[in-house]
Amino acid sequence: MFKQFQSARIVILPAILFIFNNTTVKAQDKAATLHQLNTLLINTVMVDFFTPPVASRIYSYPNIAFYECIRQDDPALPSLAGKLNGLKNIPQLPANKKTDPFIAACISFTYVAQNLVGSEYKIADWRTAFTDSLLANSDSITARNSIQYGHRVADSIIAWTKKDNYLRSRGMSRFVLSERPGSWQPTPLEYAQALEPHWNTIRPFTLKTVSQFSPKEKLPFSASKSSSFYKTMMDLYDLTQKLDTVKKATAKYWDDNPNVAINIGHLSYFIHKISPGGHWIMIAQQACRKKKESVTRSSLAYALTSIAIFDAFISCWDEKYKTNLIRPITIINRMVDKHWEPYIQTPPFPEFTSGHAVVSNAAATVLTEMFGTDFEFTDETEIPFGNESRHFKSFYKAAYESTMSRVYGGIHYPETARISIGQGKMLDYMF
Amino acid sequence: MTKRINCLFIFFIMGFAFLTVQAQQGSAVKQFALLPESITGVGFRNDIRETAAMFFYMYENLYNGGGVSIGDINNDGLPDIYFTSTLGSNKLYLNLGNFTFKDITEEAGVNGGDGIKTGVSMVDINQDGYLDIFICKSGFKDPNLRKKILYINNGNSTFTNRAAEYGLEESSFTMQAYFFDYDMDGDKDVYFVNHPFDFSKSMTVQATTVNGKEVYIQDTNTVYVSDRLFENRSGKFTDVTKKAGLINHTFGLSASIADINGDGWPDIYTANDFNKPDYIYINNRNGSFTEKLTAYINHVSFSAMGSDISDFNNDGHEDIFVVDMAVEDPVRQKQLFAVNQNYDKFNLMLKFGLYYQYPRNTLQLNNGNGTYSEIANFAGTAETDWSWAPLFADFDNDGWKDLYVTNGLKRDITDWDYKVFVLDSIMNSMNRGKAVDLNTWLKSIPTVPVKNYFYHNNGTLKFDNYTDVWTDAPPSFSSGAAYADLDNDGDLDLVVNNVDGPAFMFKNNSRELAPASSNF
Repeated sequence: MFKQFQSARIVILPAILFIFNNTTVKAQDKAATLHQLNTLLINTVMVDFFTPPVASRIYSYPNIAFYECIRQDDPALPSLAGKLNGLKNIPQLPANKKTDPFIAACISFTYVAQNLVGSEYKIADWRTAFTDSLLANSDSITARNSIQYGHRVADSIIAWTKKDNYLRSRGMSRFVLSERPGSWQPTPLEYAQALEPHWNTIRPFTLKTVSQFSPKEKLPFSASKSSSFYKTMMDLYDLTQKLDTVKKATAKYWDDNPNVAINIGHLSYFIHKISPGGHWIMIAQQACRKKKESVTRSSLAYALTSIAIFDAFISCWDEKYKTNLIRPITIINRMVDKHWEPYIQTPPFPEFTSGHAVVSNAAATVLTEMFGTDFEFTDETEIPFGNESRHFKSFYKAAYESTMSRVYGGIHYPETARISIGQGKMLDYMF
Repeated sequence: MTKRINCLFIFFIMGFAFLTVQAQQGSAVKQFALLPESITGVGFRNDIRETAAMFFYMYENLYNGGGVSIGDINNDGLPDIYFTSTLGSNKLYLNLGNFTFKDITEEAGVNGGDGIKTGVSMVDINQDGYLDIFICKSGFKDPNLRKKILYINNGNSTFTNRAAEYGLEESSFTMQAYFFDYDMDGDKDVYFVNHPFDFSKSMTVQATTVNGKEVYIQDTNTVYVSDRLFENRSGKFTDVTKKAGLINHTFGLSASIADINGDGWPDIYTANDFNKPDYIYINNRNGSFTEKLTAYINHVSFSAMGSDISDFNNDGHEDIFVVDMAVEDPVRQKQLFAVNQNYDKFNLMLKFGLYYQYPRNTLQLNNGNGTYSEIANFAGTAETDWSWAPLFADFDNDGWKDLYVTNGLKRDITDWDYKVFVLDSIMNSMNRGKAVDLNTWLKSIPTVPVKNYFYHNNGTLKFDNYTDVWTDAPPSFSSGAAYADLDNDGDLDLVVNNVDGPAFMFKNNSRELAPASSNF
């Protein structure tokens, strides 16, 4: 699919003058508006503490809605209808009415987003301020037409979201723990029940089947000291015994756990951070900002990145619950060292494969396609979470670091990290 | 904390001193009239002023509050009152009669010193006919700030701390001391309910493999942590915990001493917070105890706090009541709902012997055949908010023991709106490098005083909520409580130690309101 967008890369959009609240707004400010919308969405997802797979769903649909509107500014950009599973019949731009695709795009983004988040008011408030300023403007007829059209696109996207099996999956049974040796067990501190065990029933955007990119290499559990499982477990144990400050900082930097539980007796609370998917959406944003991409190109970057992340979660989660592998904390406590603890908190789902690794490598693949193999960037996503900014030589370097951070953090085996990178990059084939 | 205050010395003097009932402003006289400081002279308040060096983050039990002990320290026939203050000065009030009291703390030399003071007991430790005062401490890392205090009564309303002399100065993190004669040799020994200082592992269920079997990881560091039993050997106390088989690693918050197996020897019920279940230490009559909870009890409270053992249904068998944190009001219940358990964790805890634990009060009815039936929901006493001291006593002289439960926590640290949203924004601004001062943080935590519960025993294994029938007391953060007939009029008055508020001095008007029917 990606190949079809190659042409878009060379199209340089004319700077469209946009009248906004009696001020002349350049195309660059439209891109800024899209960045602002995505930041708002990510912050809302964080406040509502959606889990990483569910968050990936929330990032994607609004960005697809935005793209479907804004692409109509550029004939070179195709519709995603017919290209993403189940997506068809996006309402066409009304031929006889003056309509602004950018306004429609913003409006459709907000309606779709509002339909997916918990704190709807945060999105609705943004839209109210946006429309108020539009309607105060002299050309309020175009504004009205655009709002109407954006709403219609949103409705068609929302109708599409309703059929992705998400709602049905809410009512599915909880995960039943297996007694088989080496199977996943709930982990401290919360011992939370297995998260999204039925995520592989969600309709992917581009995958033909959820296990299309299931890695051929596996990591079967074995207590035998000569097994590759035992070896990689011991490698992890040895590595975490001498964790230096650099590795610790890396583990913290890419922790991206939306819901770290802290328990000090009854004093329990959660530290909410951006999810792995959200982190990569922010990396896409920073790449767009650095390259001063137009709103159209930025929208393409957001849509493709979020689509890749969404499918990566489905692919990874399918693998997780099929292999149902025990986490390092459980098995190391039982077999090696009863006092061992990982440096970061273990999230509540099976170990194989690594969600962060698959997602990061899938996102990096898309971004590399768009921005090039040696695109350097500075990632400031983690500053609000108490970390320094980090400079990366390329998207794949960042993805590799995030993959290894799970090993340093003590929540994934080195072998799993290696295999997961392959799984994430395989997802490239869908474009 | 001093969840259950030992009311070992309650002086009951049945008299017919009909006092004039204090007329209350604009309303009918309630059975329990709350008397103000202007009448009683008791101005005690347990104000907890947090500082950067000591707030709940440093010590989770900081808001557990202080204890109360009532006893006649000068043998004039009038019960006197001793309050502990978490961070301030303890107070001793001498009963002058007619429900008036005088603060004699400084003259008596009993302010409790530094540290975080917890439970208090009055006991005549040297059997000289005068009540002595024993004070426990916890909370600070420095063991010197946790040295227990034994105020020996000099016989002239002054006291001298002789804890070291008696061998009782030790520095465990202690909630409450329970004086009883475990070896039946005629003198009082003492059991300390202690807890670990590190709360970060209070909810974990870590396991390892030993000889091919998965076993729960027991913490082996029990210094200052394990409960302690000290044997009284002619006035000198000796630590016999290990010999008695009582070394444990529990977040104990209270104990109740009673003969649970009916063999005439005192046993120990310990109410333990968090993952560890409660324990029943059965007295083996040879100086040792054996833990046998599961032989008697089907399930226990998860966050077990205060406890009391009493025969509430008058069948001659003692029943057990343990309080937890479940909230009755539906809105507040959801606001504070705890998530420390779930289906998988519950099963994990069962697998590793942490037993069936539910986050609500438990009322264990003694069936008289060595088994207990848990009936708190049936009896209507399952939910009393964040509860501390449950006290069974016949408050209306009808022959049935009623129930009083103190409750309230100064800061609702389990409030979901706070945990999820407010704390988030505070942490975010801290991460952005903005300093957040302690007061801003503390002020963002909801602080909701609640009403203590009065339950009337209706004689059918059920209790009626008489909270608003019997008192006009305002919502509060109440901790320790004790009852005694302070005015010698034949009914039980009640004293409650409150955090950030004046202590409740309840005068019981049962005799005055119903002279004929309350004449037990």
